[in-house]
Amino acid sequence: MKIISKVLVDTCFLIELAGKDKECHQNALDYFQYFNENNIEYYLSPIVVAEYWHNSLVADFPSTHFKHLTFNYVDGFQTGNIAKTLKEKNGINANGVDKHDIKDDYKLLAQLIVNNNIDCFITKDGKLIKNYVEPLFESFPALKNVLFIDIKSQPITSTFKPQTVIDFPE
Amino acid sequence: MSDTFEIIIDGIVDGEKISPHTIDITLFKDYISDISDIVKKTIDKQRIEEKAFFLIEEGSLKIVVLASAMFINSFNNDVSVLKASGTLNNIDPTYSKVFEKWQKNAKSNDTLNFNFLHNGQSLLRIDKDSDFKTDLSLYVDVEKILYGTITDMGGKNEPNIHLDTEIGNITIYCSKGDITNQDNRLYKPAAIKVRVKQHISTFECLKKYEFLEFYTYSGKLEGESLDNFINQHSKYWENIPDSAEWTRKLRDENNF
Repeated sequence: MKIISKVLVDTCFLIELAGKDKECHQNALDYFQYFNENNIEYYLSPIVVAEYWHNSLVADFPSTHFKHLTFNYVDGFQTGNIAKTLKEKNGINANGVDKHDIKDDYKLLAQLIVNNNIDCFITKDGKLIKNYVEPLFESFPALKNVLFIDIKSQPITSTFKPQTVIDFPE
Repeated sequence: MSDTFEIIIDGIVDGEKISPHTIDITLFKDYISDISDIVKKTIDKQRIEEKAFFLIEEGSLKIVVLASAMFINSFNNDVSVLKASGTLNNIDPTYSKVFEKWQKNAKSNDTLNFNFLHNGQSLLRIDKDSDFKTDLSLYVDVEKILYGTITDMGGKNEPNIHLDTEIGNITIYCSKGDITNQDNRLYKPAAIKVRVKQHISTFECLKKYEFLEFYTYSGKLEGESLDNFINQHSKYWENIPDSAEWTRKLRDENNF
């Protein structure tokens, strides 16, 4: 079992956690409670903040309970490197102009590379992991140290197996 | 099988040649701490724990490390890069920090020299003539939020805050006004926004942290706070059938 200590939450994870009627609400809640029980710190990216706030009120979000990442020049530099790498891998000329040149997904992945003490990323978006993360492993080995969790296909029991309780005789 | 890796520190300190009888305990502690950083550095998050023991000989301080091939390779690679480029930028930040500090020491005390040997062969010598540079053009100003516990605040000439973090004790420079009437923060968890110079490729931060502002961090979101969050926020997402799809659409449409 991989031991983690810090997790970056994706926007769709937060939505699943917040929405009682969401299909993965219970999975999100199980993970969140696991984080609390195991003192795993949760981080918010300004990219996620911008997306989540798109549909909610700022004032009532419990933001002080999350640790905050900042997005700086260094993160921007890595975002550009990721975009360039993926375009080259996908056979698109790196000098070409693409409407989807710099996706916010890349910005989040850049933050995981720059803030290399964060060892987990949690999302409900399996496509993000498959389409963007896995092709980047070779060029950005730091991402291999991050545990990527898709709460839809990986309920908590498949990621963190419950620990065996041993009853010691009195 | 282990190779022998030696670090020999030689010179005159306070008018006395470094010897078992004369070495100052503080100086000794400093060097041992630097050497410990060198031999216990991390490669790709894999901790390398080399077995180190030290000998103090007349005229020198010699630390002998029983080193693995992995450590020797890593050290050798970085020394080759350093010798070829002459800059400390492109080598492991743990090495560059120690090399830069020792080079500074050798320049302020021209008798001091530092030798790194592998099986008796010299790998690197740092002395008063060494000229390894740090290219500051690769460092940019960034703002970060640091989390830890405040262990000290104050100072007459250079007021600062000592923050105990998971990466060690960090000194954050501030103005007197920033910490006036903030005594109640002492020995408590804190979040502080700082400005610092960070290397664009290695992400190493230079040690000069500048205070920007205190942040609030309330710890875990649990119990009633978590229930309230869910109860208040469910309504915002009622009309979104698939959060992953919604986020993907937002990202794809938001790129110009």
